[in-house]
Amino acid sequence: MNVSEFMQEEIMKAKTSVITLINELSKFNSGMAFPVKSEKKVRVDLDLWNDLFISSDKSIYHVYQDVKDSSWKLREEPLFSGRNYSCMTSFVVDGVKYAAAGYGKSRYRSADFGIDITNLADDENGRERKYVNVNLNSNRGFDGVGVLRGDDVYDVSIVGSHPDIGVVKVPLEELVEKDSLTIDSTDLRKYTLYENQNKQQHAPLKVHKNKLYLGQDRKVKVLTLNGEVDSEVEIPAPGNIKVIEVDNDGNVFSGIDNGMIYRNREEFYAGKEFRSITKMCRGKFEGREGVFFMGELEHGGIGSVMFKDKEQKKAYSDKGLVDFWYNNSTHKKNIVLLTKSGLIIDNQIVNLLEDSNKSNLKFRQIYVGGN
Amino acid sequence: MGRKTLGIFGKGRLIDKFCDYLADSHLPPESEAFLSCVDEVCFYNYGYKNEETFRKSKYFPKIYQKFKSLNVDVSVEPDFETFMASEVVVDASMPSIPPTLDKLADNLFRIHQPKYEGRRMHPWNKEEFDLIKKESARVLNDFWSKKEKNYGVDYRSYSSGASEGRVIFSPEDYNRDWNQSLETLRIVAGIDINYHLGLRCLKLLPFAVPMLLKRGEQIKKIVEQGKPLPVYLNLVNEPCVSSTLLAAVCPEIIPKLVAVASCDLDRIETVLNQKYNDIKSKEGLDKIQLAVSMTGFHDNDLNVPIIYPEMKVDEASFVKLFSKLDFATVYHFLIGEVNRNVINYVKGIGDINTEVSRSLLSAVVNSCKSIDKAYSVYPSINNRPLYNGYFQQINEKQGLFMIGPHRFRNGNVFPLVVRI
Repeated sequence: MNVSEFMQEEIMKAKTSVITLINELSKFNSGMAFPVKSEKKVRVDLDLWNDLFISSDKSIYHVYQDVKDSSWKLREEPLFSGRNYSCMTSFVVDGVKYAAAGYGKSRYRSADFGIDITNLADDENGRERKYVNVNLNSNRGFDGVGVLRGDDVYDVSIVGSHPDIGVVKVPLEELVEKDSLTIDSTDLRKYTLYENQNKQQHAPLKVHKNKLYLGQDRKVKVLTLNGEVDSEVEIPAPGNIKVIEVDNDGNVFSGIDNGMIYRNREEFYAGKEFRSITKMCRGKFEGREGVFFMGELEHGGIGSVMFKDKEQKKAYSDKGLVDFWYNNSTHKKNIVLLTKSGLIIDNQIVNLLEDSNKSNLKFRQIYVGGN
Repeated sequence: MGRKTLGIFGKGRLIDKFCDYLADSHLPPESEAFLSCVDEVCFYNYGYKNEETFRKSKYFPKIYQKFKSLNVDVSVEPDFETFMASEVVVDASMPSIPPTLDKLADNLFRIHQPKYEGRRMHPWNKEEFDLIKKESARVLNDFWSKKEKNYGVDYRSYSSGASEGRVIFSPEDYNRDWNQSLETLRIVAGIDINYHLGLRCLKLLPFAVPMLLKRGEQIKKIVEQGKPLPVYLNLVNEPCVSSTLLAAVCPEIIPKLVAVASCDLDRIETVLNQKYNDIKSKEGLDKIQLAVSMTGFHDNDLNVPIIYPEMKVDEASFVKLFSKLDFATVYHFLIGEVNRNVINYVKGIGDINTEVSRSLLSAVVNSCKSIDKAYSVYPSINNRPLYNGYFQQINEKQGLFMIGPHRFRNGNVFPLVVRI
């Protein structure tokens, strides 16, 4: 008998004693039986409306609604800082809220790009920071990040779309026993979900209801979880797509350089004052349903709304408007405006920025998660 | 990370010694680790009429002072649901042990006590086995014939001896629990004749069973309300079997439930490597460090130490070393070391409390740190894992709590593969 067999036998002896004991106890009282583990497969999707993220040049800050008094608060320390973040997402894993931000887009040639991930703990000691670095010579970074989920509550992957590579998918389980993962050219294939055939100007990505919408070759491609293109649902656009949004009914909106937006194949023209569309969504304005859109900061600063009958109206003409977000979830209808001086949430001015020492920061975008 | 509330069932010697361990000036890192995670301890008052009597009860004033001296807030909570809102709960409760049943357990334990040849347990031959079986049956029958009288003695002792402010069970309730303990004791003793169990299973588990089943039902109610469960660190003896019973009543607690099983593996590894140093040198295998992990259960002769090579030593060298050794001898030497603290404690010459406190502290600190971190493990992979009891499957559907290496992840047990 070798060492391993000897130890197996000893384990079996101990196990047999206790198994026999539980068996006998269960005859006396059915409550004293062997437990059966319930499989934890229920996915928890929290409404992340109570967590907003606003980004400045090299930082992303967390704005949250205090559950005690419903007031809005801005966390003192940035959630992410020090990199050129270009996109972000937020998600919930086993009840813990996370945010992930893609970085690397830089006017300087940089050797790496990647994704920073953290939970939303309220102090530095509780922050769980994870990093995915891609070591490839590219002066561009991720244009979009999203989250894909499997059956298990922990089975979550972060996906990032890059104009030179395609879609990179990293299962977060790989980060459980380490803080960072570095992907270089030798193992890039393992992590590439979808490979770009041509280098793109942009690689916008939207993950909505576990589906990937990728802007490439002047069309929005829908990818399966295996990275295959569903050719039947390609949505063409007459220009390079810069941003993609999908509403709850599955309508795809693609923003392109010359100011057009598409709702599936239906065109909406944004107007000459918009050099490009940076954000759009569907919602209600003055009781009528329409599509909101917004141009790049230097040309825009103005939000617009296009109603179903194509009537266009300036919805937010404040020149200080920087970005907006409209919550179109089934049970809540909220709008958040980011202006130069702060946030307007549901028509209430939340002077988070003026009241803090961050008034000198130029905030540019709002992100809200929950895809 | 906001500091957490640690809920505690029980206020006996275990918790008292745990406070001493924390307050020991020689152990500042441990105290610091605890204080960085916990800012309040909340005691569950389940046996006293009100908070005032609980606070005046035996041991509590001393424990209260010790926690206060560590700048930890102390509260007392009579409501189970509120108490279970603590992030981490330690179950160090000890049921009251009826004297006549205690004596019965003592007698049975004495009859069943195994004999040792050196460090190896001597297997009973048929003659010895039949004699033990007969003697065991005689003791049980004798008790059974005086069952009513024994019950009367126990209830009188319980009701008249209860300290001031204690909640006294009605005779009916006491009778139900008493019978449940007696029946469990009879079953445990029957198993122990055929398959060896240990002191904790035979002498302590039967008295905890009524309490465990009730507690399981209480926890189930919390689950039914959709409320989250705390990390549950169970020290009720024997912790693996008691955890199995708790989880049988409320399976939802399985990922949060840990049977705290103290074992000083650092010491055992040192002793093991020192003992076989010469033979390692002789074979040119000085660099091999033998590491020990644990499996089995937290009771004498039910815990199984596992030896494996460490420091990336190839399996061939390990096999070569053990080809020169009688593995059974090495193994029984280790079993002796594992049990040494318990044996010394029973003999009244050893202190088992430090080991228990160290294990409990590790479990408290690492589980607290892991809360709200779904993609990290505690302790980190650069440190030795913890060795406690957690749920392990025995077939496709069912499982039981067995000791093994694990870490914590978001307040859940993160099991590791047992190396054999």
